[in-house]
Formats: sequence, C-alpha cells, structure tokens
Amino acid sequence: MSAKKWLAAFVLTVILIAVLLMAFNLITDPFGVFGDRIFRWYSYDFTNNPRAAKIAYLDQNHEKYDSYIVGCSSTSSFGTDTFASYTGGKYYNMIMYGADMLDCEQTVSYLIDRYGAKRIVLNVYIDNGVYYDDEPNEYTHSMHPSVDGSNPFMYYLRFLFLNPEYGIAKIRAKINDTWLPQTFDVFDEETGEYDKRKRDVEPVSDTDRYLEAYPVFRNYPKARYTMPKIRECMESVKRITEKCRDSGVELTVVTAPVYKDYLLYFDKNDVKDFYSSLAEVTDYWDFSFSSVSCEPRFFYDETHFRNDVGKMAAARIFSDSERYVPQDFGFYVTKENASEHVRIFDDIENSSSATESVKLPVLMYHNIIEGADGGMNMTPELFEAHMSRLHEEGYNSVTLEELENYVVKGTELPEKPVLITFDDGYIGNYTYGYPILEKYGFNAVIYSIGAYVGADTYKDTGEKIYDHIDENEMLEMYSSGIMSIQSHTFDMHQAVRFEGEGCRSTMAMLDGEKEEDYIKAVHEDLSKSREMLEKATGGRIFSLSFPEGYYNDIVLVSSEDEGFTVSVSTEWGNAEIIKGLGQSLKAMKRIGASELSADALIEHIKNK
Amino acid sequence: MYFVSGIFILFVLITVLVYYLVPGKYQWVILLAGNIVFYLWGGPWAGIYLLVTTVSTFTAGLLLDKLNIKKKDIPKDDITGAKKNRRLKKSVVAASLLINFGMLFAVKYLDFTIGAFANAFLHTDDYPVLGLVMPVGISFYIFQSVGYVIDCYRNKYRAERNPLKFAVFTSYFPQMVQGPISRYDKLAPQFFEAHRFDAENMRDGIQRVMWGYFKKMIIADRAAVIVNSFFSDYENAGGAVTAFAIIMYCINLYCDFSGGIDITIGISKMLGIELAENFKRPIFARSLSEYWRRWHITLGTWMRDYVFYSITLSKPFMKMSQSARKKIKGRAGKIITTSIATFIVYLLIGIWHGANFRYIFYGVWNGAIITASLLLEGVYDSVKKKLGIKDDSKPWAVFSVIRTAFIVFIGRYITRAPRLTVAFMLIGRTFNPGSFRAAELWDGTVLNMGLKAEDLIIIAVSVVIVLIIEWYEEKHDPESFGMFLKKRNGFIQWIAILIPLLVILFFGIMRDSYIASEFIYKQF
Repeated sequence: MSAKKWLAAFVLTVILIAVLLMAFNLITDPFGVFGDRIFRWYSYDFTNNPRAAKIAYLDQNHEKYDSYIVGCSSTSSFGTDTFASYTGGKYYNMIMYGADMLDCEQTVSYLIDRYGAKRIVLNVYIDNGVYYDDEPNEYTHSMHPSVDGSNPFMYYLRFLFLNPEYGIAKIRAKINDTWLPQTFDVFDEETGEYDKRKRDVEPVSDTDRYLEAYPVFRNYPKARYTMPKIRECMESVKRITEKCRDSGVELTVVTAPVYKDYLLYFDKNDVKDFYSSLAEVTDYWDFSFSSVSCEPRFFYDETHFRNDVGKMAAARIFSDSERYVPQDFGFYVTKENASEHVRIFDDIENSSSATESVKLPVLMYHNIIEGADGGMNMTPELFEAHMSRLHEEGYNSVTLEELENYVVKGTELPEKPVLITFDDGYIGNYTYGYPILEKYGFNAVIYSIGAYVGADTYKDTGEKIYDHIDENEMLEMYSSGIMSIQSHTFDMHQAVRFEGEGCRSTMAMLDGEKEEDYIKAVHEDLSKSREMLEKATGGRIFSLSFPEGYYNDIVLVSSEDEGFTVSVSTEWGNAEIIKGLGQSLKAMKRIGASELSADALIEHIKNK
Repeated sequence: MYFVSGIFILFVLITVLVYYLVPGKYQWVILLAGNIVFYLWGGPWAGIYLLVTTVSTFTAGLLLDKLNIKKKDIPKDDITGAKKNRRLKKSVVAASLLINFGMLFAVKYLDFTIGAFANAFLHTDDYPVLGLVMPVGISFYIFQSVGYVIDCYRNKYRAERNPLKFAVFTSYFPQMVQGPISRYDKLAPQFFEAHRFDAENMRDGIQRVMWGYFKKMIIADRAAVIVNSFFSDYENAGGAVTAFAIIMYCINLYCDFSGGIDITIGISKMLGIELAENFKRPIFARSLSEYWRRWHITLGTWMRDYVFYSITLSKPFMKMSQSARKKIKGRAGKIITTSIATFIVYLLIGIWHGANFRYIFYGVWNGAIITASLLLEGVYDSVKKKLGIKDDSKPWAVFSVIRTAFIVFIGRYITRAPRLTVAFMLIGRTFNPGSFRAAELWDGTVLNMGLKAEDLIIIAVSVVIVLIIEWYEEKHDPESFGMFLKKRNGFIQWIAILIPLLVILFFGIMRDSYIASEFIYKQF
C-alpha cells in the first residue's frame, strides 16, 4: 500500500477505534453520566460515582421527589422513609461518599434551582473539617458539570474515552448480579441510600460474635487527623443556609453520629472548634457524640452508623415519643448554647457504651404428650414442673409485642423476662400447654406450620403424624391472650422421610435452584403462611421460627420484607435484646428446654 | 509536557498541521513558537536557563566567526597578531564554557560537591543546600550548544547570524526531553529549508512514534514498577530477586530511553527533519566499547569529537604521547595516551549521568574495562589464536554478546542502587550462592513487587517482540522493520496499524494503574 493509503488507513483506524470505544462507553455507561439508558442499572452507577450518576438519574426522575438529604456517606442512615413519615415530604438521599462541603453546597444549589427542592436536610460530618474542594479521582469523585460548573465538553469526553475495562466490569457484574447488594451495587436507586437490607437484619444480639464479624471495632485503625478546612467548610454551610433562606427552602442541619474511636483521631480543640464554628453559622441538631458513639452495634463499620440510629435521630428531631431515643442522643445547638454544649467532647476517651439491653431466655418446646420418651416431646408433668419452677424463681413470661415495644419504644420489660415458644403447632400445646400456662399466668408463642394445620396425617399420603392444632384451637388460644400464633413457614419444613432427600425441609436453597426461584419461593411461602394465620386468628403475624433454625441472608431479608420483624433460631443460648436496635430481635438464640429437668432449665437460664 | 500525555499528542498534532499550512520559509517560525509553548508549559522559570544558553552560545558563535574572518586578514608573518587572535578565540570559548557548564554544575552538581567537601574536610553533614530544581533537558541543550561553540572555534562552519533561528536549534522541542544531542551543521539546514508534506515521512514518523510509545508504555512503565518496588525495600531481598530487579531495570532503561528517542525521531520525521540515531540495538554489542557506540550514540560521539580529540590533540598531550612512544616499547607505548584519554572520556560519561559517587565509579568501571581491553588487546589476540577462536565464529559472537551484556548488567547495579555501598552489597548478594535464594523467583515473591502476573506476561511477550524486531534489523541492516512491513500486502499492513494502536491504547494509555512516570533520562 502506498504511503498515502497507509496514512488514510491509519486515520480511519484511529477514528474507528475512537467511535467503537465511545459507543461502548455510551452503551455500558459504567458511571451513569449519560443517564444509563440501556442498562438502567443506577445502583451500579451510583457505586462508581454517586455525584455524577445521581444527578444523571435525578435529571430523569426528579418529579418523584421534593426533598433531599445531602452529605457524605454517613448521611445515608438519615433515612428517606423516616423523614417522610414525619414531614410528608418525598425525600431523596443525595449522599455522595467522601463529599466535602463544596460538593454539598454545589449540590444543594442545583437541587433548589433545577428541581425546586422544598426541604433540605444537610449533614455536616466531622470529616468536612479535614478536606475541602477535594477530587481524589477524576472518575469516581467528579461532580456533574451542571452542578459544579466545570467544562461539560471535557467531562463527557473523559467518560466517552473511558477505559473499557469499566464497561466490561459492569457487564461482568450484571451477569453476577444477585438480589442482595454486592460490592459493586451498594446503593438503592429509588431512595439514593445505601442498600443496607442485609446489614439491617443481621443478628446483632451476640456482642462477641459481632466483634468477631467486624474486627475493626476491636482493632480500630490508628490515625491522627488535623482539621485545616473548618473555615472553608463553615463558609459553605453559611452559603447553603443563605441559599435556602432566600429560596424559601426548609433547611435542617444535622451532625451525624461519629464512632468514639474515630473522634479520638482529632485534637479535642479542633473538634470543639468544628462544632462551635458550625453554631456560628447555623442552628443544628447535634448527634455527633453520645452513648450511641460508644456502642459498636450501632455502627455498620468504623464510620457509618446504622439505619436504626438514623430513626432515633429523626425521632429526636421530630419529638416522636413513640420511639426510643437514648437520653444523651441529639441536642439542638444554637449560637447561645454552643460553648457550653461542646464540653461533651472533653471526656471522650472515658465514655463507655450506655446501651440499655436485657438478657432474654427464649425457651423452645415442641409437643407435649402423655408418656413422651424424650427427644423433642415432653410429658405434661415435665412441662408443668418447668412452669412451676419458673414461677417460683420469679420469672415473667413476655409477649412478642412487649419485646417489640422494648426495642422500638424503649418500654421497660418486667423483671426476669422469659419468652416461651412452641415449634410446629402440635395439639399437645393446646391440650396440655395452654391450661398449664394459664395456671401459672404465663403466655407463649406457637410457631405453626401452615401445611399441617389441623392435620394428623402427612399431607395427602395418609401417613400418620402427630396431630396438629386447627384454626379453631388457634383462635381460642389467641383470643385468651395466652397464646400468640406465629409462623413456622407454610411448607418449608417438609419431612424427609415422606418426601425424600432434596425436599424443602428447611428454608435453605435447594440444590441447583436458581436464586430468582428461591427468593420467589421463600416470599410466597411466608406470605401464604402469614395470610393463613391472620385469617385464623385475626392477629398480627410478625414472628418467624426458622425450621431447624436454618437461615441465610436471603431468608433474613425476605422475612423482613414479608413483615416478620422478630425471629428465633435453634442456636443454644440466651438472647440479648437492645433498646433502639430492632434487629436484636432477629434469629434469637433459644434454649431447647424439652429434655431439661426443671433444675437444669433454671441453670441454663442463669448462664450468660 | 510529558511525551506520554494527551496534551502532548494534541500539541504535536497542531504543530504538524500548522507547520504544513504555512509557507515553507516560515516553517521555522512555527517550530520556534512550538518550542516556546512546549518549554514554557511547565512554568516560565526554567526558560531562563535555556535563554542564557541560547544568548551566550549565540554571542560566542558570532564573536568566533568575526575572529575567524579577522584571522584570514592577518598576514602570515604577523605572529603576535595570530597569537592574539587565537588567545581571543580561546577566551571566548572559555567564557562560553564557563557560563554554560557553570550553570549545569550549579543545578546538577553543586549540592553534591558542597556535601562531599563538607563531609571530607569539615566532617559534617550540616551544610547549606541550594536545592535548585533541574530544568528539563538542560544537559542535552547545553552539550548541543557547546558543541556548536567549539565547532565555530574550529571554524567548521559559519556562525548563525539570526538569534531567533539559532534559538530554534537550542530549543528544538522533540529532543528537549532526552536528546539526542544534535549537531548544528546537521540540523540547521533542515530547520530552515522548506518542507512539503510528505506521506512517506509521515507514515515512517507515525510508525516510529508508535514503536516508541509501545516500548515506553507497555514495557518500560511496567518494568519501572518492579524496579521501584525493589529499591524501596531491598534490605532483605535475595540475590535472585535482586538480579531479576536489575534485569527489569535494564529493560526499563533501554525501553524508556530508546522509546523516548523513537518518539523524538518519529515526530521530527513527521516534520521532515532527520535526527541522528541514538541507539543501534545495544543488546547485540560484542564488547563494552561497541556497546557505547550503540547506546546513547550522540553522547559518545560528542565526547569523542569535543573531549577525546580536544585532549589527544592538545599540545601537552601530544608531547606526552611522543615521550611515551620513546620510553615505553611496543604497542603499549603507542596507545598509552589514547587509553588515558579514553579513560577520561568514560569517567566524564559517568559523571554526566549525575552527581553521586556511584556515577563516578560507573565511569571508572566502564573506563577501566575499556582501557584494559585496549591495553591487553595483544594478549587477548594471542590467547584466542592459541585456543583457535575465530572472531567471526558464531559461538564466539554469542559468547561476546553475553559477556558484554553481563558487564553492562553489573554496571546497572551501580547506576541504580541508591548508594555505591548498596550496589556492592547487592552485587555480592547476587553472586553469593548462600544468599541467592532462587526459589523466590517462583514462590510468589516476584508477584509482590507491584505487578500482577498478567503484567509480567505482557512485559515478557513485549520484550520478545522487541528482540525479534531488533534481531531482524540487525540481520538486515540497514533495512528497518518498517521497510519489511512496507513490502507486505495491504491487510497485513493494516493489521500492523490496528494491533499496535489497540495495544498502546488498552495496555498502555488505559492501563488502570497507569501513572505517567517521568522519563528516566530527563533529569540527566
């Protein structure tokens, strides 16, 4: 080929490669900057760059929202639903990880000017005193050009000529995408919040296990931070307040809870300076340091507090007496009281967790029959011995509602609480358990398997099984206030001896089952069970006993979806339930009491 | 402006475009404008050094030119007039050398010298540090300009009379970063003649630039990661890993430097300007002196023309040479002075690399080996004869190449180690079987040096490609691989466009962890 042809071929090849690259980046749009119109997978795009992708998303969807929560990543747990329930606004959470106050200022301006935001919740986090006008990475941290006024041509060019590995990674992630969040899609696109479905239902009642799972709290990383940007940050906050005032936007400024050890990174005077400087420019709700800061279980990791904590914060702001809020959590800071208030930072290192919790023995029983020979069955005599002994020792049985009130509202429980539970829903619970409980003034929960209600043969096989309570017996017991009837699934506790290996004997995923089908099966089963029990008793169905104690993330999240906020496992031990942390009612440990003598039972209850 | 940056490519594109759009006689103005933009991109202060060099050597050239003309008018018998003329010329050269080398010394060697003196005589580490930042390419343009002054002194050609035209020569942007060190009489005519757009030149230039980017981005920048990682924590390294890191350094140095030169030569070619080659496949050198004729060629020839000849043709040296011939019998007497001059040249080459004892020792290492082989040539020849070794036999050639590579490899310990003592320690570690620890080459240690396995594979494959192409060019010298490609059919030629572009784009420019490391030779 002649030199001229070669040059032509070269230029055309360069153009071809450029066009293909641009097309690929436009289609995959891994940062969502072009609106991700093909994949529409915003939770992925937000994860790559929440700043740009959220704006690209809102440009298409902002009619759905009228209020915005703005700030760095700790802002996520100021939940949109929670705030909506108090103000009636339609909130979107504009959290951007690592956001500095300039990012927030520009974002607030954009939200007001372009979307006509009515309410703004601004979170000023302690890190905002550390850095300002910071863009550590031009892909993951760049602002949308219409927000920060940067050159849109260069911005779009940068993402058009993006390394295709980003797009390939998105395609690969799409293939490996699961129902629950993974590291590549940590956001919920509808609310803008982090998708914490999994973390919000993980059992937290066992402190040691929690610290084992999240060792960062035990070996908190050591660091020292200075705060050179307090002035710049506060100037921005000031401009935000002025902007909101001038535009008639309702602004709520909050300071997010900071984990105790993180606060210790800073010089105390810097910390005080930071929070008192903020009071100079605006009044705000301070949640930065309190007993909450000292409890690891109120935090997902070293810097992010839990959604439950966000609910407590909102309850404080909106004076919601229906929800438990620790005494020292949340203070309205003004110019006048700031200098007094910042003294809370004087003694951070000596503060400790003031979490209010209670040890809760949960007793697990199955059938009660005459002449029972051990195993899961017990004789009426033994059951009565248990009850009478508990009574003598001064134990008080509690209801599920009382537990719920304790964790959510902070309502106190009676002294020495125990929760008595029966799995499977056998007739013995009715014949013997019910009158004995009544005799001692106790109440209990029956976890009934929907498929066996009223049955004494296995489904349609005619095979004999223990007789189960029917709807009438359920209603009778429920109406007495002594028995609560709850779910042991509808049909996820099948008997292997009748159905064979590979049947749905627990809530585990079957071999070779597709995730999608499995999730559907779990949801359908729970929903069916709930509907059936609701119909039978007219009561609220919100507690689940996992068959054979088995659960996994999907089970936990699905049961939460289906309204089961309280659950029990078969893991041996006493539960600990914590005020303010609803999820301490998840997968509570139990004591398998059927085989124990009354003495042994009391001994186990008294164990840690 | 780094060669490896979008802005540089855009800059070249615009410069080339405008260059061919303006009338031929103004093309040099475009070059000058391009040079100024390129140089001032990094900030105005560095331009001052360049300005001083340009003004001082331009003036020196003019003065020398005048004196050369005057010399013609001096009658043959006017010995004092001739002497005066010579003295004046010498002062002009001296003044210009003083200004330029003084400036180079100040930015490059002063802190080192003060420190060395303070250590040696005052036994203190507490001395003032100037910390002058070395401007880009200062040793290259100073050497180039000083060569011009000496040529004028030698009346090799007429001096340039237009200061702006002269400035094109001192500041020519493609070679600003890392050479080559060009000659005025080769470059000036090309700068000032009109160039019409030439597709052949453009193709050859683009190919050469792509080749340079390939070597630099795919190979050198990856190898640099290993080298830097090794030298950030070499205390406990085994000998095998040390040798691996030094081999990576050799690869890195060659691909970075020669790749940069390829870019320089390629861009020049696009402008219709032929630059001197700076590398000629040094891997195939059969002796250390041949290596230096193949590696950084323009520095070697500069040293030959302006240092070696200046020394050997100087009066005291001629005298010494004569007396040596008389006093020392045989071959040694004939070449002793040449050997001394050679040694001095290599010492200077060592020092040219930077201000540190290890560079001085590097000069000694090269100088000593080459001088020794000069002096012992007779002995070698007789030994070879006895063993029946013929110089042109293949096994001997292979042996020579390996031997040379080995000497160069050892030399690289010296230039890369942070201190001379560390270099000795690392060499010792490599050749002590007790500390060699060969297993570390495959037990995963190598994968903890900052590169993933796939990057190591990319380096290996790319190095093989470089070797194959260089082997082809060595075999078919002077036919280049580009000429080989030209003879292939259109599809293959197109593949030879597509694949390199894709490779450079995806494995070079878009490499995830890619950070444009500065050209290693820039600071020299």
